[in-house]
Amino acid sequence: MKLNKDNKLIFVLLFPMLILLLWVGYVSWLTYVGKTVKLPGSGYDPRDLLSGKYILLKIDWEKADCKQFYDNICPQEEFEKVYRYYAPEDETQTMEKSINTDSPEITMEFTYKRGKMPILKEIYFDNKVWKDYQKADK
Amino acid sequence: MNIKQKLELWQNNNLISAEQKQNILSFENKKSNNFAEFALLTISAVCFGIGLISIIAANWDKLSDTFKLIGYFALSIAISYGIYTTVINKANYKITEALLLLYAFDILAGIGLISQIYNLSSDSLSWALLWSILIIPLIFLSKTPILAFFWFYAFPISLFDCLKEIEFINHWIDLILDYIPENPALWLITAIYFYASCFFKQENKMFEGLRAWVYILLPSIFMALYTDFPAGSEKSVDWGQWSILGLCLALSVGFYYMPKAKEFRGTSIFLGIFALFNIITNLIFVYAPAPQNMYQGNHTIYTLTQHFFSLAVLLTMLFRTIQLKRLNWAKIALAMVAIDIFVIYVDYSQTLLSTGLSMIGCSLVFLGLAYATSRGIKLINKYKD
Repeated sequence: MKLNKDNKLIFVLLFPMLILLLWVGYVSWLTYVGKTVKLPGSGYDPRDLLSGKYILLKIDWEKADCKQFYDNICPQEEFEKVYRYYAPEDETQTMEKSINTDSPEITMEFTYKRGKMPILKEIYFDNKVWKDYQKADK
Repeated sequence: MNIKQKLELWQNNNLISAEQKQNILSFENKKSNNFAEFALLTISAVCFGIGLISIIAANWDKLSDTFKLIGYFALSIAISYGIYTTVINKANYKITEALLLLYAFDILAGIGLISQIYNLSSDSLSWALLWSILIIPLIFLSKTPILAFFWFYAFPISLFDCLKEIEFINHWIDLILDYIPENPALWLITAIYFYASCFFKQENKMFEGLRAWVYILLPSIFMALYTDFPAGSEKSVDWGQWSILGLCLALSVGFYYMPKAKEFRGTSIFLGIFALFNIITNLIFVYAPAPQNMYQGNHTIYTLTQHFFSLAVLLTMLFRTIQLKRLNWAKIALAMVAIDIFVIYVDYSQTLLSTGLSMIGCSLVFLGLAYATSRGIKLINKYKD
């Protein structure tokens, strides 16, 4: 099929959107099919102007429960060294304060599928979803 | 010699008639008036794009992730539809160009939004690489070199950064990067770019983008050097910086006298002025004898002053070049204004939501100015007729 000028223009304009939609689809699929694993972490708060404020988190593999994974082995190489958890701008200061002053036990919840990129879904402070922890802290 | 002087010379030598001179002048006037409107629309698109990125970055949790994504794609479709209709109807090219720039910012905002929603992490600049790949079709749709310029800035840096993740390549890149930043090699690469754009005629917009990249690269490196420079520090003489400035001046003189690059004389003067400007500010702010506590806490004021000073200089340059009908210079000034606004935003934005809203407010002001310019020109022409 030969593309006419109009169709070419439509394709050019839709191309970036299609790629972004495919990306959204792929990541959503990963969060849907993966199993949930929880890993201990530690973090601090810098700033990223493109995607907003986030907390940087590292997985503490020494304290991790490897029974959650296939063959009871922690697949460290499949995880990133550092993860970002994006939080609303107005809450990051209290979040940072909680981490620095209360030093709660941080747990990171991932959806994990063998051989695929793990997706960080939620973080917990002292086993509470961080938002609930902050509400209780206030 | 400006166009008016040239035409007078031609008329005096009987090369053209008075009527032809008048026709050429009114054609040139129309061209620069169009460019003024285009410049305002471009700045408006840049401000709107930055505002959009800021608002998305504020991560307003009152809106659900699904709503944010639907809202984002709806906006992208609206912008694309705007581009489609202006291209198909062969409408005002300035609006198409501004919308293309806005779309490029919108794509960047989308990458940020998806990373934010799914907490995606990357140690490298893979987001910038993805962005520079996604905007390639838009560059070919554009009739100006502005997007190509952004591409030349983002693509090589992000590609290098991502290649660093491959261990074998990382070793070599580390070697090169350790060597380049404060080293004349960077300036040799710049010189190669200059030669490349000398030999390939810059009719092609990719090369115009490349040339603009050289224009912007140098000042931005200066900016990076000086904004990071700890004013009032104990460091007395930094030979690295002085050698870069010296080399820049040498390059400027070299290009001025290089026979192959006559048309780049403007560039070399520009380079020289920029180097001198930095030498002077360096002398004033760092080496001038002053009370010991003068610079304490003044670093932000120093850099902010320098940024706003440069913005004022660039806006004046934009205004004058349009007035003098030096449209190639005006294009460069315009690209630099856009970059300077972005740099000021990155360095000094406070809360993201308020910054985002103010940027969108600024964008509307520039849009209003563009509209007023267009209406004003039409009214003046009507009055003349």
